[in-house]
Amino acid sequence: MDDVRERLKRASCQVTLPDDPFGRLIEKRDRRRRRQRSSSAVLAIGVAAAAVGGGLAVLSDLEKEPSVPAVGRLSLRPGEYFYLRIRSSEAVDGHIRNLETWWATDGSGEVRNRSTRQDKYPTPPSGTFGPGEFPINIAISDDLSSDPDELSAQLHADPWAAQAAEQPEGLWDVISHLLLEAPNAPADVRAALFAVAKDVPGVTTIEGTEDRLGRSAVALEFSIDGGTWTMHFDPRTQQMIAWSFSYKGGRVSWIVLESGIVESPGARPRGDGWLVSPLPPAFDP
Amino acid sequence: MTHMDEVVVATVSRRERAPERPLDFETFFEQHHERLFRALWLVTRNRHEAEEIMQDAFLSVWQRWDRVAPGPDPVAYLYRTAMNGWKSRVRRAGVALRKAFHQLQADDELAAVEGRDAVVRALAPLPPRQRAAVVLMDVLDLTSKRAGEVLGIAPVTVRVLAARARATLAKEMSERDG
Repeated sequence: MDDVRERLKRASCQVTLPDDPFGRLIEKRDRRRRRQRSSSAVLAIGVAAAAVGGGLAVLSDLEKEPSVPAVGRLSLRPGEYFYLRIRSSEAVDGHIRNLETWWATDGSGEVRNRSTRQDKYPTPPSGTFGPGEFPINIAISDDLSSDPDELSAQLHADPWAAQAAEQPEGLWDVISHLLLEAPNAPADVRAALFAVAKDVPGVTTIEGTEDRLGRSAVALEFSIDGGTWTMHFDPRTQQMIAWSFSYKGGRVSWIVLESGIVESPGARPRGDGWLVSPLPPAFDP
Repeated sequence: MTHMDEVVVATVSRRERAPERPLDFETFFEQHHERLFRALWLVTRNRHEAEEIMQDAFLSVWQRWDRVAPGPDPVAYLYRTAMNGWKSRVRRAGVALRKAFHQLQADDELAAVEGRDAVVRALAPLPPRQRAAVVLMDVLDLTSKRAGEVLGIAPVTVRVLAARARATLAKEMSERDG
């Protein structure tokens, strides 16, 4: 594969660079400014039309049902921790990620990393972390709303997510990114992400199905470029319980084994603190 | 590296890079336009498209320079803007054109390079996202975490797309070279 990399690099150097690229950039900027000035009158008409459209949208919103989780409390109170136990198989080198995280809104928490290739993948480091020290960092804002409409607006406004979120494929990617990579996206935000993902154009909703561990689920499916992404959600709490990507017979999978709200790092949920039902003892997926 | 490693590396490298960050846009342009153009040329397979997308991306960054420059990673922001511009162009072409995307005529310079370089020929039939993933990782040397941020997809997805692309390229190259 190093050969592929080297040859790609060499190939990229074979194109002739444009002459005076910065000068051409300035020319383009100036052309664009002239065009913007001439279209300002048209824009004014558009603003008036948008005002009428906005009124209609408000009326339409009144008819929408509020998005209320079926059971359980999803919001995280100060001092509580959002617990996730995940397992993923990436099949590239046989590595299996096995990770438990406890995250609180003050940025404190705990990580237990039992991934199979600690020599090759030593992070995130296992340990407990004080406020603001939790070793997770995502580019997208960590102050996401649990209201699907507000969340959707945030994703469209976020400096990182906005450009992708303009298109169905990009919005699906951004949602996947948050659900997969952000233990600091707590349960209520995850439920809202389900609601946003469900409405992404091109997404198919499959009710009454199961994930590969046999857990009841609602599945959302999205296909593009020959690949199919499937996300399974717990129908009661709208928590993602499994994610998979399949392409030409190959498959990468990621599952939530357990999830819940707990009172201290290192603790497992109890009673109605479970957001994803615990697996039977000694169950090995 | 896992995505977690990459987050740590990215965070550290951002800290280390901060004092060296160019303060003026023109310097930033001079430092990064060449690499971006070369990468876009491979992704789009058309030098005119590549220059258009590069210019649009730099103009977008320029408009927001006062906010982008002090941000955590102006280069990643530039790449992401460029990739979004490329994706928008592909999408604007519509479903019918998307189907024909792989058959778009390459430019003359590309055709000449294709004539002597199997890897460039082998890039042509790759799905656009695979092509972008492998170029970002192997030509621009981005980690899957940063490439994921640039493409707006999860690092694991980038790794999958790039691995598929490399496998296809290696197979095509061995067949064509052989």
